[in-house]
Amino acid sequence: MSALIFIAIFGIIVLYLGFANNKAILAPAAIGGLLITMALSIKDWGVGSKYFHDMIVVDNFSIAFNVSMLIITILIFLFGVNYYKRMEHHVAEQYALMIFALTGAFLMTSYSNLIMLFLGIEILSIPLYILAGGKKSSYRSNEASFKYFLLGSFSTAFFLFGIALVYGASSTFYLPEINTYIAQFNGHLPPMLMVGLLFILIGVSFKVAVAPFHFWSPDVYEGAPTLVTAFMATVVKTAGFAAFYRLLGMGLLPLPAALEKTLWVMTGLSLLVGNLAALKQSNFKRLLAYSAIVHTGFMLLAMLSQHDSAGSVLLYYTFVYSLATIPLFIIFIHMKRSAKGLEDLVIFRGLYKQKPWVAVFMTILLMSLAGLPPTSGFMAKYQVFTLAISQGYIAITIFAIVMAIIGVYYYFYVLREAFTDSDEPNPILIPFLNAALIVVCGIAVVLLGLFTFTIPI
Amino acid sequence: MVALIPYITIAWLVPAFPLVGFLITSLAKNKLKHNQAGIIASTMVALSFITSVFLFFILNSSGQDSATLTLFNWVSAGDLKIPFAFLIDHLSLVMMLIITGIGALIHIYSIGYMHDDERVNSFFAQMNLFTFSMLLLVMGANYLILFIGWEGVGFCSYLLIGFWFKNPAFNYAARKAFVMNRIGDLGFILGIIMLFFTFKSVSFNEVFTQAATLQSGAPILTLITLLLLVGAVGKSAQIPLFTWLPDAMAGPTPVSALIHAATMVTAGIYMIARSSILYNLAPITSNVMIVLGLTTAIITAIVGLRQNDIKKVLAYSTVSQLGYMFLALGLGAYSAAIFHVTTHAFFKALLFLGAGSIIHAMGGEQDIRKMGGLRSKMPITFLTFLIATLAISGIPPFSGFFSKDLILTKAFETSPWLYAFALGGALITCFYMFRLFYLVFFGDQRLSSAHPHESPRVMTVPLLVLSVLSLFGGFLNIPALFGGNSGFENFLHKAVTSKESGEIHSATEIGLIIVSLSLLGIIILLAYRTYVKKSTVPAADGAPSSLIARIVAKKFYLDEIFAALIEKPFGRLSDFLFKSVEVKVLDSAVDGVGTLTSRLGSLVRRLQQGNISFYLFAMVAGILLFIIFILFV
Amino acid sequence: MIFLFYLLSAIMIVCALLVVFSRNPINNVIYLILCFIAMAGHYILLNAQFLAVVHIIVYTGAIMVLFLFVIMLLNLNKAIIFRKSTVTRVSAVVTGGIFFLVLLAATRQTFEIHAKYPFNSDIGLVSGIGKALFGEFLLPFEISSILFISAMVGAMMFGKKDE
Repeated sequence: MSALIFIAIFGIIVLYLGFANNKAILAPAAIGGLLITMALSIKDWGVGSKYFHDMIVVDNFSIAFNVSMLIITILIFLFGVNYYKRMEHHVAEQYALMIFALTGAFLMTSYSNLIMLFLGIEILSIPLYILAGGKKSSYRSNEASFKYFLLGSFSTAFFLFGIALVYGASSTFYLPEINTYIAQFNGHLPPMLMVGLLFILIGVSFKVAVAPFHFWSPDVYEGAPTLVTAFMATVVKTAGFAAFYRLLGMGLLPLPAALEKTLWVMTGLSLLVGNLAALKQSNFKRLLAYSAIVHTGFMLLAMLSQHDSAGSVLLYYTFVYSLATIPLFIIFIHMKRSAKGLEDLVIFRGLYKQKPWVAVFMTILLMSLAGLPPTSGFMAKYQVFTLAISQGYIAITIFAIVMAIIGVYYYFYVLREAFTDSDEPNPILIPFLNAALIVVCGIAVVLLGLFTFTIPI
Repeated sequence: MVALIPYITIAWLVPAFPLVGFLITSLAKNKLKHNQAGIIASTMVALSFITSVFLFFILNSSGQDSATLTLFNWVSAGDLKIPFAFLIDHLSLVMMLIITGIGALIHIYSIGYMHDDERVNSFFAQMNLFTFSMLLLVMGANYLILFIGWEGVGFCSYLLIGFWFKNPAFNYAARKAFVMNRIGDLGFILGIIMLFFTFKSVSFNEVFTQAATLQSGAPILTLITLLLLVGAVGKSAQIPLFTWLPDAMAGPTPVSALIHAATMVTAGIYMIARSSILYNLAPITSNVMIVLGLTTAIITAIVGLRQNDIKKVLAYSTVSQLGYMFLALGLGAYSAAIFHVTTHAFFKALLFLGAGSIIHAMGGEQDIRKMGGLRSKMPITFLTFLIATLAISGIPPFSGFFSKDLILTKAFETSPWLYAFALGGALITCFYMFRLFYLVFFGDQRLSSAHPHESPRVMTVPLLVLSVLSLFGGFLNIPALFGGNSGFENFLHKAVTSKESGEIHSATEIGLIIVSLSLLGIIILLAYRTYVKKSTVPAADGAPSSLIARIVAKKFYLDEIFAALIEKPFGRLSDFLFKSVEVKVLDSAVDGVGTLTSRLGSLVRRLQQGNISFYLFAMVAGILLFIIFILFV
Repeated sequence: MIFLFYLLSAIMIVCALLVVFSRNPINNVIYLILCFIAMAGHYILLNAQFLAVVHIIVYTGAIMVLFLFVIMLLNLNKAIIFRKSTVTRVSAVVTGGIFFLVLLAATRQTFEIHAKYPFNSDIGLVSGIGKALFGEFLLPFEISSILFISAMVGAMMFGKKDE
């Protein structure tokens, strides 16, 4: 709990640090604050208590996810050190907004009341709408921000309506109470409650970009500044899934059969649509957006398997996915700069020629995303599949495996560009800090695959 | 007797050496001077070879059948524990020796062959990675490690085939190899999953112990073996997934040698031989393998008759020889298949490296119609190529004779018809190999612009070593008929379980050998008459086919019979198979899968045009459908 | 009372429809204000005078008037004609219509909400709301300040000119 209070106040402190007119102190200060938050979070490990009239629950699940998101945010802030060097104004605001978004993410991992979930999602989203439009001079950035805002408000409306309907039926916002209320119907829920639950699920699905509510994500990923895209692809996804798991895995599951089938359909659609669209992408950020949709499908699969260890698998999956994604965006931004702003896959040409070690690490990272051994991405997918199979969902698992195999193609396509020589090589400059990040993440991706962790949550 | 356990721990060195080589050559690739990468890479593979030889002697003198070396616990999720372990037994040792031994020779040869290439350092890095993956594949103690090696090999071949990526056709070939292999891999993965379901383990020891208790012909075993077979068909280039292999000639010639002789294509054979216990219990799958193998062997041999690119001819011959190996696997003669893998590795590596030497000498020319008269210009290449040609044709005492004869005998034990077809395929092989040989080395030089010369010693020495192996490699397994003790088969007997087959009378066996040898002799003479005596040169691609008919019809009666009975119909059949079946049916079927997916991709992409009102519409429509679903369905 | 309820509801629905159908932005805003005022009427019917007043002050008084100013200052008060293909329009109308029907069907079969929270006539008054906000809902109330501060930061970032 103290972690949540601290990070909420710390965001404002970072905002005030902007008055110092010294960009160099921002990232270290922000990272320091996050480390303190992390220490405060870990302090509560194993205690498991509820606060503020049971509005939030601080248990091992929420702490594990919070720490995971903190680590990822620290990596992104380290990335920001170089990324924001060229930016003149509002750097402190950028950091502060990300910390505010993280506060929202914290609420999403630890709510036990639908109001808190709603606030969490909104506190996470509003800073993102702003961050997505961070490049004021860029038309695409403005467009991304606006689209995200509009579609996001739309989904928020549905989400709120869903909460209202559920409240109308059950007259409570508390998940445990809703759960016992639902249980009394033995699977035959009144229509109002069904629709309400569906709207809530759709609201969360929108945040994590589950097909068919994924339309915003490629456009927004493409238009937003790369660092923000990295933040969205990692922290926001992790928070979304933590919220989803709290809603389903720790709350509503087993759902009424019809709702569960709906979620299975979404899982299948995400895998299929993401893959098919990714096959044809030539823009790297869009490609990663679609690949993120596919990964969403895998995570849904883990969650819907209704296994006790699904939470732990989800944590592992989101963490290694984030670890592989951030350095890819770092590599991308440097290739983009060397190619004078192009974002197509061809910009990776000549990487191996000029920076062979970066190409090697990129291979590892892409292999992890594709789920090839011996990387942690493989172990993550493997755990998801064994979970689903152990609960008897064989057909969908086989489908998911087929989709995973198709996915290898477009990841390798990127790789192939990296190992191809460029006709007109531009010098690629990678500052030391970013290079270190790439190396550390790359090694971590392999090590986590060799020594998989399971956290009892 | 030597205790095995303390020594077996060095087994991890075998894959470690190429991995180190890969790391050095790839990370320091901008710093290495012209030959250094090649020398490092070759040394590493040679060191692996020495370690393998050492392991071989240790295993032999220990009297133990196998040993498992567990490096660390790799996967532990719930009750599932998969160690990262190597299984060292007779089968994996044979494969390790082939991979590292032949691999080392090919690496050394490449120092000379790739001398002028600007990306020689990347080349050696990729070659080392390839060797490493293949070693992982054969040494793994469970299907998961095998699968990692399997994928690694696929990926490296993708890189190496497309090594000269500036040519779009080569890129296409690389992609084709990749796609076809993925189709196979899909079956393979599903097979492994089914295995895991059935036996709750992927470790070889546990799976085989449990499988031995199952009923023969159990449906689940048939399913598993068929799925694994799909993987093997993809990797080992059998019908219908074979077309990538001839196209894979796009890579540098040493790569072709490595893919064809020592590594990639033998992976499927190895995997099936390794799973021999499963396949023995699945008679349906075995029959499928017999049909597939024999069909592939004959059809690709016929296609090979009309090819004029030296590497294409060799490629089709590889597919055809792999067909024989599948035939042997289907017959349950697993050790015969591995024996053929071994001898094939010797002579096919020799053929490819020889072809590389020729191409090198001809300044990049690959069309055999433009070669000729190289006998005097390149004596070493000539001699070694002759040995290899005799070996692949199955002339005693060359290595190919022993292995092919073993397979033919096994076929005869099952059915004389199988024997007849298999022998037919062997005769065709003999004919096109000698056609190639005569056209290249005899007659006059037909391309005036080239100035052929013998290759440097770094290339000829591997050739000589391989020719010695091709010459004497067959003596590893001298059958009882010739007073031998079938050493190779007995050696492998501890690792793979071959099916018991009926005994064959030694008089019948001698009769069969006499029949096949006399037919082979006739074929070689025919080829000699056609391509040396009368200096027939195959028609240019665009010339009317009557040209051949005219030349052939002029002379002897024998020629006419030959032309009418063999060359013309088979030539037509060959053209037909190549142009219609291969290009139209198989290629378009495989392309079709790709195109369909890609079309669907375009469709999905077209939906996403950035029009926000469409997004909203799609969202609402989605929500609506879901509500209707949950409420009314 | 029942009559008032239906009257206010009718005003709200008509105004909401006019917001959608009217093509002049200024008219849109004014219809929305009317709609909000009718909603405030509903609050009063529920004995929630404080909420009604706050609603009028915040939404009608502050937000919508600000909207009006922006529209007038930017000179946007021209009728907007949307160019959309007939297919899009028809499919949008059909989807929307079905959506409405389905939701109606779902909520029509409502059921007795069990009397867990009996109607408390003080709940909408200042004291009731204050107790709820600073009692059970303290955390959401406080934490929403983060939401507002980030929105403010955003407004400042977008509004300020980069020199």
